[in-house]
Amino acid sequence: MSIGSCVRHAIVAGACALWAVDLAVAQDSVEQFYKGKQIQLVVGSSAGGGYDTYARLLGRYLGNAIPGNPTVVPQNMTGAGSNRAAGYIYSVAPKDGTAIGALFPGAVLQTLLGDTPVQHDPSKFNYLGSANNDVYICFVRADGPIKSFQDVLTTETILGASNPGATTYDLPSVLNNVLGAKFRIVTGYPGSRELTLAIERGEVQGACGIGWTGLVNFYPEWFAKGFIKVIAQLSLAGHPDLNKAGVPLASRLAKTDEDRQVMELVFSQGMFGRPFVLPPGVPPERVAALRKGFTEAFADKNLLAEAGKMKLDVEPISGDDLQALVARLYASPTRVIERARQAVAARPQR
Amino acid sequence: MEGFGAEAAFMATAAGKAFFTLMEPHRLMFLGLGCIMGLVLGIVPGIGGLTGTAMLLPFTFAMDPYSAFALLLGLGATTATGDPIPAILFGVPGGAASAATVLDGFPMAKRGEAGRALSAAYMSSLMGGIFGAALLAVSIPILRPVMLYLGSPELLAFSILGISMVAVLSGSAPLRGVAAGCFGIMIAMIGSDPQTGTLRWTFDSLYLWDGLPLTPLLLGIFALPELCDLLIARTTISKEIDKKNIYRGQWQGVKDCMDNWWLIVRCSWIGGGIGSIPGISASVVDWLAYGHALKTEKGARETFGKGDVRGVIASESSNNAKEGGALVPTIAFGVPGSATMAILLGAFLIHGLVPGPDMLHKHLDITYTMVWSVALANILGAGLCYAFSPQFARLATLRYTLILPAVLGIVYIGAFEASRNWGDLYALLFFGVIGWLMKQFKWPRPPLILGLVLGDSIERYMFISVERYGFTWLWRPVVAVLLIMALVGLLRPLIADIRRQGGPIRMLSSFQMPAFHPSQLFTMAFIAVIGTMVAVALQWHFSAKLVPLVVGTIALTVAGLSLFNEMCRKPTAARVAGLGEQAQQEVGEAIHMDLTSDTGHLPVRTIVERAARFFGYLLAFMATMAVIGFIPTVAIFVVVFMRLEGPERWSLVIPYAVCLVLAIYITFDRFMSVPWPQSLLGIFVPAMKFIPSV
Repeated sequence: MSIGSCVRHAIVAGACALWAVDLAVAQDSVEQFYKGKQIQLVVGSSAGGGYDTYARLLGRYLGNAIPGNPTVVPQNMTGAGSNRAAGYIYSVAPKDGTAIGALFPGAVLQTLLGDTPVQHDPSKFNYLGSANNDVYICFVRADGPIKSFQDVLTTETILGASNPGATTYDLPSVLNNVLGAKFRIVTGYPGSRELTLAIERGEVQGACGIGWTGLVNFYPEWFAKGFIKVIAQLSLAGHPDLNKAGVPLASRLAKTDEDRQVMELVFSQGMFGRPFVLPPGVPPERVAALRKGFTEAFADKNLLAEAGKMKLDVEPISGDDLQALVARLYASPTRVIERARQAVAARPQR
Repeated sequence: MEGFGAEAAFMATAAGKAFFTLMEPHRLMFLGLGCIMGLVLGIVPGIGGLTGTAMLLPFTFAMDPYSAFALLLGLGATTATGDPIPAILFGVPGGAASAATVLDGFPMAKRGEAGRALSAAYMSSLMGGIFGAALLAVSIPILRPVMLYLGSPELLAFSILGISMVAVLSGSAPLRGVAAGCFGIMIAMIGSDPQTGTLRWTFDSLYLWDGLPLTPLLLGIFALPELCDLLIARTTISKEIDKKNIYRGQWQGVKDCMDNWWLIVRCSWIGGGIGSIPGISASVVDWLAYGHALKTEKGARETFGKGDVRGVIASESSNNAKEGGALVPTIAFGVPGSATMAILLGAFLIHGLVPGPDMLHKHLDITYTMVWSVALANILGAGLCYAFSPQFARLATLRYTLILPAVLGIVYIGAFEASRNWGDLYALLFFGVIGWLMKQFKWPRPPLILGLVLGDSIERYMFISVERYGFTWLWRPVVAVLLIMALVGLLRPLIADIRRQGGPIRMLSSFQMPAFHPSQLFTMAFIAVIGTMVAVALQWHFSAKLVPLVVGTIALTVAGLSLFNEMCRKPTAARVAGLGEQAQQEVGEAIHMDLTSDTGHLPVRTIVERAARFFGYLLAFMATMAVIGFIPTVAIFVVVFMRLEGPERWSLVIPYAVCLVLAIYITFDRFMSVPWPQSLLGIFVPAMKFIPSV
């Protein structure tokens, strides 16, 4: 072995040792920091809703998965489709890793697709991860004239929706504007439960933009009895169960590549159904510790058992992956963003 | 028939099994625990069962479903029993559904009948709660078909029928009532609209994006004016009452309820029925029941609003029944009938129960446990209230310098709990001023709340109905019947009023040349505000502006007519010095459907000075809070207020301040972990953050 290679080895070994020490020090300092601290978990929706249930579930397990075992205290801060909570986390909350926001996916895409100016820049958040990764679907009553997605391109179909900005409105309007679907979207249903009740009593024929897993968990008898039919998946890859059943991906029906990109941009929010964020500027070693804790908490057997009982779909995506995904979305070609924005905003004048 | 018998037997078995399951001592204990928490949360204005239920939910994971629902429903069902206590004693509604209790309960307390009013409130709460639960119990087999029959057009018709109560609740000032109701609807339209996403009247503030929350408005419109008048009058709320009197009053309250049992049955069915309709806010059931009593009870038009016990009974029996009603859509469809029920839905899923047909067959015993829990909770809650009632009743005899600091502090937290934003406090203050002016100038306040709560669902369901059915929905039988009832309810008082004044010709001949009076400034300001709102709305998308423009135009028309009436009607008697009496004269001899100020004996100048002082305190409170945080502000406020106004002696002021601050710290900071708004001190001197809420 030459002297040169010895030196190289020594340097590498030394660097490795230093790196290990460094890591341990970082770990220690993170532990020291969080010891006895409280982490504020700001939930951008009201107590009792789905987002709140996920956040409180995480809150009960996250503390134990972070060095120093801080106490996690969920607090609800409603308003502006969780854009208010996003604004709070972005600019007001402490940037030391003691504040986490639980937001609607809409707040992450707000500056990309929305018209209304908000106080936060979603691309600058530190993403902690998302609790689930659902597939939005289009479904209709099986007793109606619609048998497949091809039918909605020729037959007018009445869909129920909450309001512009909600997935139940935005996703079908993209299908109308990009694929030429003939959905008549009736808005005004306060929430997804009121919407499904309207389908049950036959006021509307179906809905687009409700998560598959949540629906099948909550209304198992609908599928058992064949009361409704899923006609399309609004997702990039689809859900294994639905793929097996042969439900088509709407984005595959795109005529041009750009059409497909527009749809994928809007449908992407299904991948981060329950996003959790940290303010910009949190020290990187704490971000790393929190991301690790997030992944560990969602792998905790007790959490999964609890989630199973509550029929909550837990399919976390990690902070690193979510960060990369958001960066990619925000780097989409301007033309695609502009078309997606128009497809969502356009509402026929009557 | 045989099928029916079998069904009934099945139901009875399930109900019996459920009863004995609930009677296990540990389940009763959980029920009792829930009741105590519910009462405490109910008494604190603005804090309802929602926060409590959300906090208790995780503790129920390990329980069996019967115990879990006993605990959660015990809490949910009794908040409405605790609500009337501050409403009667201080005129501060403890929750959205007991605002109507203030109208008669508070005047009763002023007369020294606090004991009777409280007792009538508990007893009618108890009976209402039980009737509500009974209605639920017998209607279980038909729940799902009925719910499936009620579509958006029916919900719309129910909302319209509800808002037609404005006519009754406006009393002798129909024009002002309609104007106030329209103003309420317009306030309900603030925020992102469900049709186009247009941000209506939000002034670029995120706070207004989802619309104004109800609690700060309610506390502003109903609580602050009473507290302000208390400071203006500088007295106690009620005269000295001796202990014997309280017990006699309590007995009287029970007797009142027995005498009016039929009223209780009707009002609890209104409460249970409205509570069970998903998608219509039940926060106005008290007004609907109150309006119903006003229309149907003998002599009610002369005595309601002046301390008639039947007003208290109507309001309280309906709001306790609504919780049983709210269970209906939750159980049958998983559509939560109230925010508390949304959390209960979480509890369902944890225990492996899926709302829907199964709850009415396979898990019928669990459903009946819930019915029993609601019924028993009402009995327990009322019992607990009776035990402490004499102490409560005596609160009304305290000096205003002792009542105001604590009540104001808690009203602030109650308002802040709505969305935990500074905006809540601005809204509280703003609507406090409006509420006080309305009270002084005899503008009925109940229509405003009615418009505020129902306005949103009217717009929502009208668009759904028209979009989905065109105009054919008008011919649906339930819709047609409800709309005709609404129309009759609206027109009858109007026609009666015209007839009383001797027909249209006589009415027109009693006008004279316009004469200006300062009290008309309020009407003018009202017209200016509505006019500005309409002007702003003109630029919106068609679907977004349709309802605001229609309602705004009606408001402008009736407010204009009212102003014309004020200026041009011939005076009937000589001018009187007091603001209140002057206004009373203007609205005529018939009953004024709202509380009247008892500050009429004071000169206008004093009233204005002291009102300015009251709102000055509120402003100073908020300014201090922005600088040093909420909890230190409470301490300073107590000391400054009691020393300046009393002056109370230091040996009273210091323990008062310490106790109040500790109570607030433990309840709201430690237990409920309220996210206090940032204070300047906390931003610039982070070292001071060890003080809570800085």
